Amino acid sequence: MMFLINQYRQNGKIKPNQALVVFLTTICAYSDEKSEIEELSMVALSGCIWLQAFVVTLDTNSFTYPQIILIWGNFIAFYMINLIVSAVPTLQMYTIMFRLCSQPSYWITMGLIVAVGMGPVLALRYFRNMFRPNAINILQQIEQSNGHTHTTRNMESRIISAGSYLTHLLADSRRNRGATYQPLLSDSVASDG
Amino acid sequence: MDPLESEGGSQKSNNKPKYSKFTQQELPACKPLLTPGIVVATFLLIGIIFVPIGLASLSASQEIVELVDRYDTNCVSTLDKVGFIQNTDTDKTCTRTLTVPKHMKSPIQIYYQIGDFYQNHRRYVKSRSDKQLRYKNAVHLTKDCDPEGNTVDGAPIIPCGLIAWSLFNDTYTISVNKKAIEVNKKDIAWKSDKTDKFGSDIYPSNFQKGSLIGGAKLNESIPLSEQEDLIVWMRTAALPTFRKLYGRIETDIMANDQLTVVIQNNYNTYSFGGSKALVLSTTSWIGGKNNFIGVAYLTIGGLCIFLAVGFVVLLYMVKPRTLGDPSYLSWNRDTPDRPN
Repeated sequence: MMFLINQYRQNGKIKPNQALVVFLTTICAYSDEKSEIEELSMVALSGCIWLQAFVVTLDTNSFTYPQIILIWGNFIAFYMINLIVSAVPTLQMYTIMFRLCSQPSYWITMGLIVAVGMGPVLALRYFRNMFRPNAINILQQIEQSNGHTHTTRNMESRIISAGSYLTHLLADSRRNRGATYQPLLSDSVASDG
Repeated sequence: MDPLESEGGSQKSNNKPKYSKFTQQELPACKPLLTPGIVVATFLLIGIIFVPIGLASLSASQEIVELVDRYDTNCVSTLDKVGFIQNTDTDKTCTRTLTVPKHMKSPIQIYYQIGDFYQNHRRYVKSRSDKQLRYKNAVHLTKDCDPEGNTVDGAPIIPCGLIAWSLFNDTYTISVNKKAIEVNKKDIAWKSDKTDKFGSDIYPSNFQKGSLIGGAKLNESIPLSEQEDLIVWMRTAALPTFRKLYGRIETDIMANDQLTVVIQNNYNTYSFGGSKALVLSTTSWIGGKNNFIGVAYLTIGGLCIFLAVGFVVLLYMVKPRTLGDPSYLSWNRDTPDRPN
């Protein structure tokens, strides 16, 4: 089962501490000692799928319908595929998913995994945005707060700011080559004007 | 019309990419921000949802009445426990007396619990032949079952493999206030296992006929699909300490009733330092007795409410700058050379 969680962590979306949350929560919630190997594996895998959906949602800055379809479509496809696999008698996983989905403790465990996995991430991200924002955060906030203002002065000042931003970004990039790449918002800011 | 102009227009239209909202990134978009209101509302919502779920889960878990009686140490009085358990001539009957602390509502599940038995060991888990258990014409498929695949003269063992060979063989007879009570041993296995994984036309053969006896013998006149003890045992446990369903009691047991259990202490857990226990337990919608979910939910709910209140307090104490203030951009600061 640890192999499963580790494999899922390596796709980059689930952090090591979140993988630990999935593992420990699964073990403790199903520690009534009557669980089969396949049951425990499927609970842990479900936890990874849930966490992945929420992590991607939090990392997304702009939701259009392709994003929504892909994030939650992946989630729904996981359950559909597993219910299909659970219907094949010759497999070891036969009826496991039907059994789990009919247990309240399964869904309660999923909620617990998501809350414990995402709560700290959400809080830390909020603090960072609020008290030590980077340029991306500030520009996003500018865009949101001024989104419906159409005066000429605001348009001009935003265009000028965007131009300065690009100049300084190039300068900063030369000095901070190790910085993590973040997508530019200047196009969307300019096109708003 | 000017022919040059017409030709130019044609060239332009040929090179122009087809317009669509998707390619031009003009799809309607929702761009949420982590504003104080959203974050505080989210944490409050989680807290408000989690606390009642935690209370309900904890309450359901507390309602479950569970009796656990470990008997492997007390049922063997000699020092040589391994010799005692392996000797087929010794009387292995053991009588245990339990007092029921609270009213137990039917159905009452009877489990046997084994500690430090690694049913998830890879070689053990693989030592079985699912085809042999299912199909009559697959009795010879015993390759995965070594060393319990065939008898010394080459005949296939049904069911083969270490899992079946090590089938648990203690038995329990239960009386309440000196009156014998019936243990229902039907439907203790998964229905899907009985109908699809074990054949109704396959009967045990050559089972436990070798020099090493690992566990229970099987009645050779009962097909595998009706051998529910075997089916339960072959659902390998994920953890080293596990419980498996032995049977059910279909009548209530009142508080202060005296339980008498006559145990046939046959199974050898002494060789590998394991433990054995008898468990009687009621059930509820939460499953077994497990306080972890309830406690965890209450803890998370409380933490989220605390965080939400903390965020609100912080807003008034620290008073962060206005959201989206351009003066905080690096090029608008007094010292533009300072990194962001």
